[in-house]
Amino acid sequence: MSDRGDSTGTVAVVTEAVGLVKHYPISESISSRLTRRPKRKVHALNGVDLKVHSGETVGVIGESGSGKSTLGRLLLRLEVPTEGQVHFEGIDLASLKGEDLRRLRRNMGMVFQNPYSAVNRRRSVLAVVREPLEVHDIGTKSEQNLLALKALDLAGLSRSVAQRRSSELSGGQLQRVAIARAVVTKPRLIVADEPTASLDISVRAQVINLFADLRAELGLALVFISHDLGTVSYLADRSIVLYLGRVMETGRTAVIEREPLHPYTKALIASIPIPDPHQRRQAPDRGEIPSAVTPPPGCSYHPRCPLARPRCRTETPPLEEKRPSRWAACWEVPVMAAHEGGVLVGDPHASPPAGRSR
Amino acid sequence: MTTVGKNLASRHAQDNDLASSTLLAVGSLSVRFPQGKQHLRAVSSVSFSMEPTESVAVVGESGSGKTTVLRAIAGLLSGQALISGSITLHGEELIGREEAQLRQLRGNQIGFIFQDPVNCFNPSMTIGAQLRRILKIHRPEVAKSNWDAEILSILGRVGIDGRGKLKNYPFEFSQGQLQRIMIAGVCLGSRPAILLADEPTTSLDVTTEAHVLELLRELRAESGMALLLVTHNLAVAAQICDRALVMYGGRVVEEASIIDLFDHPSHPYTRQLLKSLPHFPHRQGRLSPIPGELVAAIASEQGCSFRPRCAEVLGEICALQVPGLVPTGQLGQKAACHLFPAASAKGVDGGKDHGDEVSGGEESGAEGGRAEESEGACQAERKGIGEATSRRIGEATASR
Repeated sequence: MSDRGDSTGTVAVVTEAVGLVKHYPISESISSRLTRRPKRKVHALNGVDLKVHSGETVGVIGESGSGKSTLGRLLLRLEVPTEGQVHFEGIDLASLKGEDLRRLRRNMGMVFQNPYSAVNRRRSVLAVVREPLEVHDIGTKSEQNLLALKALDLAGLSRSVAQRRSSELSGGQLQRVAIARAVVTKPRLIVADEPTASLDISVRAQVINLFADLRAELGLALVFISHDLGTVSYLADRSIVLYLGRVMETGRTAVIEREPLHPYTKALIASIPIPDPHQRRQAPDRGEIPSAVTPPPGCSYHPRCPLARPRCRTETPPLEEKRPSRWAACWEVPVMAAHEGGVLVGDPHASPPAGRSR
Repeated sequence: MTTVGKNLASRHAQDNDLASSTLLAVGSLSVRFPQGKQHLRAVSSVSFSMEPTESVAVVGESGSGKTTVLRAIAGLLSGQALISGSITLHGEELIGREEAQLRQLRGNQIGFIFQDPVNCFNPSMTIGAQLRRILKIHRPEVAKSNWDAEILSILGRVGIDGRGKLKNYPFEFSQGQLQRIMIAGVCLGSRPAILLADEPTTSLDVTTEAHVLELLRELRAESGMALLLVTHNLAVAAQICDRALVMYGGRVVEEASIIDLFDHPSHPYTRQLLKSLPHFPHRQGRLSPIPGELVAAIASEQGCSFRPRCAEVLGEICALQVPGLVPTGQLGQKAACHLFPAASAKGVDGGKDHGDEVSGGEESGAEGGRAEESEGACQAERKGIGEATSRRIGEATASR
């Protein structure tokens, strides 16, 4: 059974993605096949780098169609990248197949957006949480039960819930069950894809706090995918902002939200409705996210960008270090002097946190 | 009734003709759904009124009954629903109307926007055909040859260049565009007096959400239509509404102007809810969630339904008596909580409306509403309802 003992306290890189590209082909009609039109595809991800350290939470922010869920699925190799690699603790996931991959997967967990479809609602809560242990053949039956109960404890569910059928639980409780199942094998990486989006506001705060506790208690690497900057703001040490499969900006979350560099990040932040009737704001941004089938040339954000210049329509801006430990992909954001920046997402000196204050 | 000024102005209007000043009046509305031997009590004695051009938010979590209220007003509840109380639009009762009449009303007086724009369109019909149908049914005076011109101009108003797109199918539009087209469809029928919107931005991205909110704001400024917006998102309510009703467990637990609601919320639920919101940018420290979860509102409830999660339980009274919605002392603000002494005195009557009677307390409330001072009017109105209800409860217990 895996033990985290060796990695806690160090800043080991848990997962690293290099140049991830993912294209999904679109099924062609017969007529377009006959006319040999060029094959169309959805450009879900177009070269994304990411590094997540042990004990660190990285937020992946983006609108629908930005590729954020694809990124999460690639990190766990639920999908195979078109180009690029994913390393888990130094092991290239592409080099593993079948049994070896499955064995490695016990170190990873995933929490999905909709707990109603992620959990088998006919089974008892205990059976749902125990399932990963059975799949990975960890411990004896009674040990499995014990571990499952512990995981439920950790997720803030009382033991009396364990024998109930999942269908009797509310959405918030069910999401806790899903979280308990994700942590039961003591994974070192958890990818959570919009885990609070389907929950009610009063319950959402409970689940956000639960993630904060789990991270502190288990020291795991957490990739938190969300369209909601408010939620990411509470959890993520670092964030990457995705737009049409490219990283627009990355850096420490607290810095990005205070002083966003990229015009897209600025628009995103300015769009958040403020829970304050004294501050009514106007929609800042124009247009909508274009189709990922025909992404715009150059900077993919240029059709909506207020700063767009002719150059933005033809040349794709690289992700550059514009300020110390802050990267953005925009021609209009100048690189501050005294920093020869490289393309260094998740560079070690964008250091992992020394535990965020709670 | 948001401000004194408004109240005074509306009072004069009320003196002449009550019906003309109040756009929508909901009185003691209760909705139950049969569920096995029990009844699911989705909405319990909800009363409020709206003036023309006002925008009111109904805020609550899932299961609070907010959508049921909205659907009841639009006459969109299933035939199984047991509805009691009264809903009047321009003084005319809507409950018990024939479906055909309701359909006319929905196209002409009431507009409805749904949460999920994708499922609201027929996927096998072009957008143009679906919009033309609205014109055909609700605007027979428009000549067929002018249909497309009319549609294009309305689409232009919601920010969509419809030229050459009318023969496109719904799947060829983005969610945000479809939401705009749905709003266009509402405006196409005619100028509705009131727009009912059920979580219109929940399924949209933040940037698109900001656009749709702005569109709603613009349309209201242009046409003066009233807006009744159901949302779980307090921030959305803060951005476009004048007044808010907070619902919990099928009841209105607080009613206040949007400014008061945020500046000095009075019901413990509202206060705890506001505290649990993640702030952006992130503030130091943890979130303070409301413990526990919403319980489904099954009939035969006793006491305050928020009690199991409440941080300010007073004692036995919270378990025994349903608090009524009474003025808090803050002008125009009401809350249903025993924290407010008036509430505990009147709570039994105000809250325990069993909704068995079809006639609501609205008539008596309206009579009370004609009293002298605005705030006084408010209280008298409340009292009127309270008395009427207690009388009815008295009868009900006597007959048992």
